[in-house]
Amino acid sequence: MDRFVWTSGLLEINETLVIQQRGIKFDAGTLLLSTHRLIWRDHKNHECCMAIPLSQIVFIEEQAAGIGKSAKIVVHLHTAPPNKEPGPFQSSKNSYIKLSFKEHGQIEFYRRLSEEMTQRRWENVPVSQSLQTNRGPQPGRIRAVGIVGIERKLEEKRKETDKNISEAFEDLSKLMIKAKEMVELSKSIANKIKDKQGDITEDETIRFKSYLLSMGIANPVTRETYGSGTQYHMQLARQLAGILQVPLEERGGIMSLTEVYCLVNRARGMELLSPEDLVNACKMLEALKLPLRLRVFDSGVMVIELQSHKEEEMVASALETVSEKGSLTSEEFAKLVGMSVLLAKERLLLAEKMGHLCRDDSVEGLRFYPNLFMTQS
Amino acid sequence: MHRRGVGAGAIAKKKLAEAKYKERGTVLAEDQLAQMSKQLDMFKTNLEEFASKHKQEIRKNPEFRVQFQDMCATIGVDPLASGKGFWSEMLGVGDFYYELGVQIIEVCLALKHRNGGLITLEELHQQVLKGRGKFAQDVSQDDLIRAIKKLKALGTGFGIIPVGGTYLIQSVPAELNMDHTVVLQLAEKNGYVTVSEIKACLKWETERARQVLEHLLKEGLAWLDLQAPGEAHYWLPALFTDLYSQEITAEEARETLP
Repeated sequence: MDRFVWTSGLLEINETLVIQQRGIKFDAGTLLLSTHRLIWRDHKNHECCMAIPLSQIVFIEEQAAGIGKSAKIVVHLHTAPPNKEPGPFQSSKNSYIKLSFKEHGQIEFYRRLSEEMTQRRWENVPVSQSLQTNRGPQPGRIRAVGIVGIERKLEEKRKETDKNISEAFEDLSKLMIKAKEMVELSKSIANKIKDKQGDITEDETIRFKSYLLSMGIANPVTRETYGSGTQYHMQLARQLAGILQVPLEERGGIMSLTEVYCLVNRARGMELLSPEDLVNACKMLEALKLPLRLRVFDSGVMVIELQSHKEEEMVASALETVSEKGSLTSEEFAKLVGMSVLLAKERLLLAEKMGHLCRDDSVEGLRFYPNLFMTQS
Repeated sequence: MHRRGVGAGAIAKKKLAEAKYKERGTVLAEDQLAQMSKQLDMFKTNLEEFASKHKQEIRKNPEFRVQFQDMCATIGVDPLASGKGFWSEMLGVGDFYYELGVQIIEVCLALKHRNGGLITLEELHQQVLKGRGKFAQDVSQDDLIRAIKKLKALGTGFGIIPVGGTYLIQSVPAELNMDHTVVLQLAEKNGYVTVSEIKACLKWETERARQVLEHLLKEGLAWLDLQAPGEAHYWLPALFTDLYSQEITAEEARETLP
């Protein structure tokens, strides 16, 4: 580590001792921080003493203690100036040193060192020994130039951010307390509703559900995490019917809910729908007599289809296609017909359910054949 | 003698009292609804204030988002339930996660031909970040998990499987039970698994191991390597992304097969 300079360890005139901490590594020594330098003195050999001018320091950071490791401060340094006085090493490839605090004191030391870095008192009061500084000292004025200046600004910004975050957390906690009150209130109302069993008006139910929706509280009665059947979802259902008509026609009258989610949200750009919003709106399509409907296959896959779309009829044409080719997998069928593999699979499964196709399930994949057991008995 | 509490009269009186209580109950519920409405307005104001001061924090700080979500969960509130909720409207959390959902779906769809619909959280994270571009806001793995949990409502077969220290994300409705999951976890170490390995580590019969592996093959999640030294290796493309140095399309993949 070539930044150190041998020194007599005596404080120069105008240099004051800021803090000293024992137990610093280089094998048990004492670290002293002065207004101008960082000094290390060997515990055993008091003659051995090294120092780094504070002006050489670019940046410092803390490293927390771990199991078997003591806390450290990492001190990043400028490259050594050419006219530096002799020290323990002539050259070093590292540009930082680690101060290991075996007997604690790291937090305090870090704080003081940071302070000294910020205040830069060595600039204001030059000492008799000529210590290299990269910028001319200007008493009284703190100049934020060069790398040190930038680092200092970053440090200040970081402190500011930390302060912001703690403030944000405080405000957040207060907010959550209020939110919790709302949750309790909603539970109590829900209990009342349950007890009355139908004496509550339609209007009140709708109001209650929309309150739950605003707060994101699970409906305590039905356990649904949304206020389904609210005005919002009805509006949404109508909007969807409008938006999806053409895309559905382009895709053979049927689309998976995932495709719908992406399509609608990409089109919106902002004020996006949550997945639950979409599902709830779709659940109302049929009730509102809109030209689309939600359908859930046995596998759990959810699709939107045009009312005019008859999947069962599509099955008949699927059978034709499969018969023509002898047999088909979902992927092959999807490619032929021009639909997504997911929906192709569902159609073939439905055909199988209806008895038109039967399957050949092997490691090579799932293949469908016309059900000859039915047709050729 | 005057007996109390019996007779038709008493019953009628009791009914009247009950009816009055019920009515009172109605009144109480209405009162409470009105109270809730008022409190809701107040809360909305508080939230607006919070948003004006800290909305940026949520946007920029993933740890803050985690804290926020955890706190909501603790009190029984789901800020992502609806885009129409206060949280979403005022803090913008909704748009952030719903858009992420779209990006996740797109990435999974694009890579499905290669990995059968199974992808590590790491790879998903990388691909999503790539898709978002340099100037977009950073997203954490926690953010992805939350977005995926919401996507489950779409019935798409999105699943989150813990393996090793991380997660596998499933994006197709393939049936994966405990046995399958456990084998996936075993495969995580080397990217592949063999029947002997399963028998040794999990103490299963050969037949059970074979069935699980066959299922994974069928679902397109595993590839069979009969040329491996020793016995057949079952590779999981989802787990060995480092070996892919270039993107190949489904076409190219098919062409390379005999």
